[in-house]
Amino acid sequence: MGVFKNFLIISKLTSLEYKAVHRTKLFGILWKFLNPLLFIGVYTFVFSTLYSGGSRGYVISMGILLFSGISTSINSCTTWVQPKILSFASSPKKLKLLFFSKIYFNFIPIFYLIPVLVFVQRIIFNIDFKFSLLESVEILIQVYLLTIFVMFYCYIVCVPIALISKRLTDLKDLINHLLRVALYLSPILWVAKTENSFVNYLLQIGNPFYFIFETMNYIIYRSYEFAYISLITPFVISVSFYLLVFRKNKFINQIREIVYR
Amino acid sequence: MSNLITELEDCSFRYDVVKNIFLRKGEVSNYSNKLVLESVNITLKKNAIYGVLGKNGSGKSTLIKLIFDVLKPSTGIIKRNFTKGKLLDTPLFFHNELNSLDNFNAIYSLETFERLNTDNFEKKLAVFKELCQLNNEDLYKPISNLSSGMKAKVGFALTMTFLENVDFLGLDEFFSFGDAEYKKFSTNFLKSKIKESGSAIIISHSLDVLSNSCDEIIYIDKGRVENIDKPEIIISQYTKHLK
Repeated sequence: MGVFKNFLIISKLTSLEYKAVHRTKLFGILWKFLNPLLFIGVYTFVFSTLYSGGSRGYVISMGILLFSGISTSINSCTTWVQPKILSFASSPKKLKLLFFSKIYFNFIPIFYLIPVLVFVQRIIFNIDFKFSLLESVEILIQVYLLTIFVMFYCYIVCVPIALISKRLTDLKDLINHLLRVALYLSPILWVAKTENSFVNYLLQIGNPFYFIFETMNYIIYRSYEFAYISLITPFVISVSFYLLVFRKNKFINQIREIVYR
Repeated sequence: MSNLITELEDCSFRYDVVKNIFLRKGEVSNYSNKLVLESVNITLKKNAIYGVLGKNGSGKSTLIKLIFDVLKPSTGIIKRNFTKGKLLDTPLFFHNELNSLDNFNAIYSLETFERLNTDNFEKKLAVFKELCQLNNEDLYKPISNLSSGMKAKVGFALTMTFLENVDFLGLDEFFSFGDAEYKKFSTNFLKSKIKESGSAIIISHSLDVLSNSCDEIIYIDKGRVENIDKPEIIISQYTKHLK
């Protein structure tokens, strides 16, 4: 895949975008890290201290951090398709790299914050969940792999949304609400394992981001019973979006049709 | 088709209908169903330079966008006999908050998929600097802090540095950059690029540019192609119509 082969170009484009976006701010690039850190701080305080959840609050903040990357990417993707885009990225390969650099832009702070979180967990929250050093390293690697996977999933989801939102302009407003609902219906504080199996399946299948928190729980709790059914929706979404948009680079024609109308 | 670069058969174009359900029917129908181009039938030959002339809103830009496959016709067929066509309408920037050199770096990465320390990079950078004619201090200023003349120069240079191996060139009002001296320089440079590509189509309100560069001019009025002929004939028809 061109994304791996041209990763240096992607990171160059991302760093230039960082420079451009944060140039006029006093704290510049720090904001990109301060925002998720603030979130993590609040969630950890609320769930670990106020709800006496111990390390559980900390686990939640890891999932929230990952979800923040998704929601920022999906929210910002509605602005990707614009008239000037074809002027400097006229071929499918260029567009793919440009779009992926925009996703990577939102995930960079996550890559930096994950080891910080694992380290802080070992220092402060290694009480109710006692992880050995090896287990902490394992968690770090697994969370990194999950983040990379989520980043690609996000890319597959964002490109069609960017295209659809140009035709269906209301989607830009709707997407924010849908993401909030998806977050509330994710297994953050609860797991969908009620006595009513229909409700369980509905929650696990209906939410395309359910699997992220499910995997996060699996990574942290180890003996956690993973709901494989939650992988169906992301699989169906990925395959159908690939067929609709990515196969034979259909998206470039779709951009052409959309951009000036 | 072998000696033709493109052919439009009975092409019409209208923009999408306004979807907002809260707009009253009368308000929508007044402007949504109007044809921007109506039954256009033209054939453009290879190795010829065409101009497009017409008043503002007559459909010139829509026509050129149809030719270069940026827009799809609402009805009709377009046959294209070029593989590396390039439409130049707006100057190229990656980001307004970056300086000229960073903009160059970004576009270089996207255009060449190469690292920024190759010989080719140095060559292209030299071409870019020569084309934009800015001093070192201005090259490091963000685009948003440059004067509009300087911005135009950078945009022109960024676009032109990466314009290579084009077999059909489209220029939509892509003239008049910077001060009088630079305008002359950029126009001459564009003319050399047009010659290089062999076939081109130019939209301009400058009668000088059209009469000096084009073999034939397409005259459009209210979305209809009125005439295609030699520059002097079309220009006199156009100026009469203006009076």
